[in-house]
This record gives sequence, C-alpha cells and structure tokens, in this order.
Amino acid sequence: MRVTWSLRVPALLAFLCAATSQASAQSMTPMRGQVKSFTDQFVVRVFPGNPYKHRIKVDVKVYDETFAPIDAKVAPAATTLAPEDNRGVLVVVPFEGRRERKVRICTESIPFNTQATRLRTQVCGRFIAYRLR
Amino acid sequence: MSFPFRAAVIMACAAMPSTSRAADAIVPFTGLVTATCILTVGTPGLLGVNSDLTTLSSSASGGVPGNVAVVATGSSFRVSAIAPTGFTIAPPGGDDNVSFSASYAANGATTLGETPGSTASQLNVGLTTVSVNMSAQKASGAMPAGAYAAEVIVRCE
Repeated sequence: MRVTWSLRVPALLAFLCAATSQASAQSMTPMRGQVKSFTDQFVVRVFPGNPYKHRIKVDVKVYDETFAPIDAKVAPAATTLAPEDNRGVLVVVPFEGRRERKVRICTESIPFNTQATRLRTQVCGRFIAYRLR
Repeated sequence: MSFPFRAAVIMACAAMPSTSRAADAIVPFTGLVTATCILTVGTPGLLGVNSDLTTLSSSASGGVPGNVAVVATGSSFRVSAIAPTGFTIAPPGGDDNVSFSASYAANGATTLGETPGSTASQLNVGLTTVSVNMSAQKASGAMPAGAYAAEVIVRCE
C-alpha cells in the first residue's frame, strides 16, 4: 500500500509533532507509545524484526482495542525481512472524529505450512494518540 | 652560546630519565534495550485423532504441541493463544459443527500450567518457552477422512 503525497504531508507533520513533543522517542517504540497530532490522523513508525536465521515475510496490521481491524494506511503492509534484520514500517491511522484513539499495531508472521497445526505469531504494540487543537 | 655547548646541553636533557606519568581516560559507552517481545516458532504442532474420530487434538495420541520461544525485555507484556475459527485445510464437511479451542503452558522465565488460550498471562523478563495445544471437536458425527490444517495465533502484547 502506498501513502499518497496528500496523505504524506499531514502525516509527516503529525509524525514530527509526535517526535518532538516528547523527550524520548517513546511514541516510536514498537510495543508502547503515545502520539500527539494536530491533524485528523496520526503516524507511528514500527520496526518489525526477524529473529530467525532465514528470510521471513511479515504483515503489519492495525486493530482497535477489541481487535477489530482499522482502515489504516500501512507502508509497506507486507515486507520481507532479512535474517536478524528489521525494517521501519509507517502506519497512518485516522482519528475518525475522535479526540483520542487507542490502537494495536501488530506484526504477524507467515506461518510454516508443513504441519497440521500451524502457529502464527503476532506481536502487538499498544499505542494511544491524542488529537490536539 | 656556542654551537658545541648548545648541542651538549640538548643531548644531556634528552638523556635524562623521563618523569611523564600514564594518563587515564574514560571512554563512555551507552546502550539501549527497547521493551519488546520476540516470538520464535520452534516446532509447529501436529494433530492426533481420538478413538471415536470426533476430535482432532494436539493432546490426542499422535499429536504434538507447538512450541514458541518468547523473549520479553519488559515486564508489561502478556501472552495468549487464539484458537482458530475454522480449518485452513479440511475435506468437505470437515468444518461442519466443529468447535475449536486452544491452550498453552509455559516454563522458563515464566511458569504457567495449562491455561485457556484466551487468557492473557503476564510474562516475566527473559526467555519463556510456550507449549501450545489446540483441539477441534465435532459436535456430531465423525471427522471425514482427509488432510486438516489449522492456525493458532500466539500473541504477545
């Protein structure tokens, strides 16, 4: 999924605001974070990592507090990771009229497909975003 | 001062034992470990079938639980195992009237007895090995013959 330019500008502003409003890069951590945005959307960058010794494919998906999917822009939504590597993924989430929004951003692995019971791993970060006016 | 005398003074000074001392310097190192959770699938599971052919389970004879290594660097993370809602591979009729369940146990940094998959359990910092079981039970009739596959989601959040 590609982030269009019209989306990139407010997204970049929101990202810069979030990055500069906190002493540490707390909103950028993969598992927990707070984001403040002046726009009607906010941005989080997560870094899926590959602990294996071989290449893997991962998906990044966005859910709300009840694990219902959210129509967020994820770039790239699916990516291949080299062994023991990580890659930044940009997630743009709309507030949809809310003043605060809690989301889960999950990195999901593609499971092995050779056995009867396949295990899909899901590492989810919890993020809360506030819309400033 | 004549040249020979000046040269003699310089040579004498050079020949004197040095009194310089070793100096200590502090080289600072910094590092950062972010709070995160790493899941590594060790072995996928295998489903066995019970004697009356109504249940496919990793706990049944011939079944093997799946194993996932969980490394947590923070103490605020929880693990759970989400049961599938259907088979990803099944023969015709294989999905009919089937209920799925998942459970897990853990040892290592965190020790847990057999726990329902929907229960999120707190993880301690360190390496925990999670053993995952799943079961698919048919309410009526026997499981039709064929290959079955299902996915359990192991979640760390």
